[in-house]
Amino acid sequence: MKKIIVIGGGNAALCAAITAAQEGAEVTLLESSPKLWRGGNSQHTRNMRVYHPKPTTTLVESYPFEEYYEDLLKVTKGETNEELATLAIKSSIDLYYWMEKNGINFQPSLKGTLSLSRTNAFFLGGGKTLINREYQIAEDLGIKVLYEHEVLNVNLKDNSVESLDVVSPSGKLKLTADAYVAASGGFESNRDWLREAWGEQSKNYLIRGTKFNQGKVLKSLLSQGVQKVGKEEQGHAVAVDGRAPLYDGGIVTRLDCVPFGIVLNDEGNRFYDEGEDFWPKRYAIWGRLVASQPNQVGHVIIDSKSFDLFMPSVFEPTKANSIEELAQKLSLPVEEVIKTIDEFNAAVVEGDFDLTKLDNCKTEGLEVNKTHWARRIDTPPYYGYTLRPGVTFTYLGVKIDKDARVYMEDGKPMTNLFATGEMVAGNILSQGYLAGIGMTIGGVFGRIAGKGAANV
Amino acid sequence: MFSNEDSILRLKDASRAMEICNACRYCETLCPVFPQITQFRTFDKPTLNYLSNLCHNCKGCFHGCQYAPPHEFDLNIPKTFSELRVDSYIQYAFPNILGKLFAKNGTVVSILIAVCIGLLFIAGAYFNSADSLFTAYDGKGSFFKVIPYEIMTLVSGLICLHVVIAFIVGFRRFWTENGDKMSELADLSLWKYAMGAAATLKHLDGGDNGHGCNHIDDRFGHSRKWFHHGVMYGFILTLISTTLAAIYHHFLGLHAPYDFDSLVVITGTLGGILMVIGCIGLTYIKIKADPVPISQKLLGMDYSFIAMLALVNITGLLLLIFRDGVWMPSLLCIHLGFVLAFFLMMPYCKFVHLLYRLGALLKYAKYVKNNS
Repeated sequence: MKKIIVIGGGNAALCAAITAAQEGAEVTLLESSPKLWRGGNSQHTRNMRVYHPKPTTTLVESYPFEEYYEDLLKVTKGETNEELATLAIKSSIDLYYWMEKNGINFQPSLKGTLSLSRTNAFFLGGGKTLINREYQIAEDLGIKVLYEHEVLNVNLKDNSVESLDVVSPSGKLKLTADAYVAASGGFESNRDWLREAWGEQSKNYLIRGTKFNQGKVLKSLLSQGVQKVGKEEQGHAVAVDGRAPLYDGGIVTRLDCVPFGIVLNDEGNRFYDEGEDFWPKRYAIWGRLVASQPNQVGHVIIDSKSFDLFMPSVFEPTKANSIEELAQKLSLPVEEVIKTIDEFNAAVVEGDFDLTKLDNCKTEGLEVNKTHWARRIDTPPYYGYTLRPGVTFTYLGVKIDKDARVYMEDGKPMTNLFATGEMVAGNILSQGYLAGIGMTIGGVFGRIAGKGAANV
Repeated sequence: MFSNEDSILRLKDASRAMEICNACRYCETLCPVFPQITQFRTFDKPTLNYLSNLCHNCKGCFHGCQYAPPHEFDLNIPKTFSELRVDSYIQYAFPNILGKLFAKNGTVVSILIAVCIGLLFIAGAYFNSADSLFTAYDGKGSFFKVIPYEIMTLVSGLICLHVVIAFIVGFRRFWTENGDKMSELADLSLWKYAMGAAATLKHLDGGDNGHGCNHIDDRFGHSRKWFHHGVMYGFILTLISTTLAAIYHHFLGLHAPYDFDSLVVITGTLGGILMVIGCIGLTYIKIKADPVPISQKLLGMDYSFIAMLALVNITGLLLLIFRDGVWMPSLLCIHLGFVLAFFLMMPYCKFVHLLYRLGALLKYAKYVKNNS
């Protein structure tokens, strides 16, 4: 019986572990977090992007391969590994049915996310329910799950993994197996590494997901001549409520109100077109926009006309009866804010406000115009929300092939190391993000990695 | 433990929790509570009272929650809601002063049972002065030789009247609290939905694909639904039995005890057995379940209610078995003691869950109707 060690405890790791066990291997899974924090970033997800030629139990209509691939090319600006991207997309429907067969429950898409009901399969109750079920399947298959077991170093020799240095509650261990699957995520929770990659500004970044993604396995592999994909400074960041927790803020910290108002920086000036496109499409860029502003903050200002038009936010907005008062409460330069808003209001061209399409409400003559949904900010009370960059995950990873096998810098494949999840997302996502594709990549290559490892 | 100050803090915490749920919505299809939440932006007391009574305490939302402890948001909806429900029971109770009984249900129930059984023995000895309480009787009407028919009817009639009044007032307080009018209850389609959901416990199925709920841990299952069915249908069968007995007695001139093959005994026995099985099963689930989403403060109320139900039925079954022997008078006093205590406590114990759950389902039926 083949002995397999899976490093990591999120969806990708579990797909690998379960597949390897179903192939008859003896599997040990090393999760660095305690049981209550298990699941990596998967515990915060809610859906997975799935290609389907015909409707399924929960996915409506069809989402053809070509359209999925086009969507991917759009966000990555054409930079992807065609072979791996094609494989991931084509296998996504098998992954969906495999999950369903194993007792993972899906549900119709949620209110407020109807735009995704055709393209994305929603996990019933969200990512934590998915993760719970995957751990149950693992338990039923006899997979040994070791919590609070953190891999500090992967010891390589030639093109093989020799052993793992692991720290556990009972001390330091050296573990060995016939084959290994690395699925331990990116480095976004490692503040030192973030500073190396993004500079001093990263101190103001919030991390939307788990605090356990320290990137130690990734660093160990890359420092020993494993081939790198992606750039350190590439990742998925969105703008979140500035009061969100440092880690694990998850979905509730997002703010959907940007298209309804204007966004000012700490100096009281606008810096980007808030009405450029529909919010789901533009959502991902605001993390970077805010990150490039002084103190890495942005302040959304809306008036009472818009307050009920977006998803409820988890923290109370700052509320005031005049712009002056609001600027004071947000600690912004009052005169500059009043000037910016007066100029904005004067530049608004009246139109027919319509949330459901790119309407004709816009500004004219400003240095930075708002091209849609522009309405004067003139009806008190006024509301303000402070935005900060919220990092979701990083794209730096290891090079794999269609068998999820890891490659060395000299172009040689490794004999007993496979990888999946956030560690390999950069093979397909060079930049940008497509909602739910991270789960697809992790699940598809997780199954491939598990099968490969069980049959080395 | 259930003081006003605590209740205000709980409302504040529940409203904070609801705002987080409303911004997340991952649980939207788990049960009716979450689609209801999306209809609100702020959560006042009547809304929270409604939502907490709409919660089936299935714990699916706890085990699926990315913000459950140890997360700093510390969301524990099943626990928060179960305590809020009791606050609402206290608030609706009639007369108001007796609402205080909810706070110390375990103690109250134990004392009440002891007092009721004692009183019945005293009554038995008093009315039965010619013979001892340890005599075998046979023939029809033997129960009334222990406790006279008039006393039994008078006491049970008065208590029933009180229970009915307390239930009507309580239900009215609940129903009208968020602005619903009593006249809306004339809409039979609401009853059809609510009774259907109650009869099948469909919201314990955990969503459309019917995988069940998280009664014990993060696995889905149907055990709680089946044991609850045992208690609910067992209770209905014993009600049928009692009603039949009343009809036999008053209209057909047939007096208890009834033959083993009579409908009264068959429905009563079957109901009794079902309830005992249900009570044992529900207790087992409570003991085995993950303690984090359970309010420790409420265990006294829950266990005392389950125990009372079980003991009413166990003593009833024992009485059936030994009704021809010398133990009949004592068993009758004990059984009637439990029955008496049960009916006296009815409006001030977990039993009211039936009333407000039905009310919450009716309110939810109104929402479903208006949104379909």
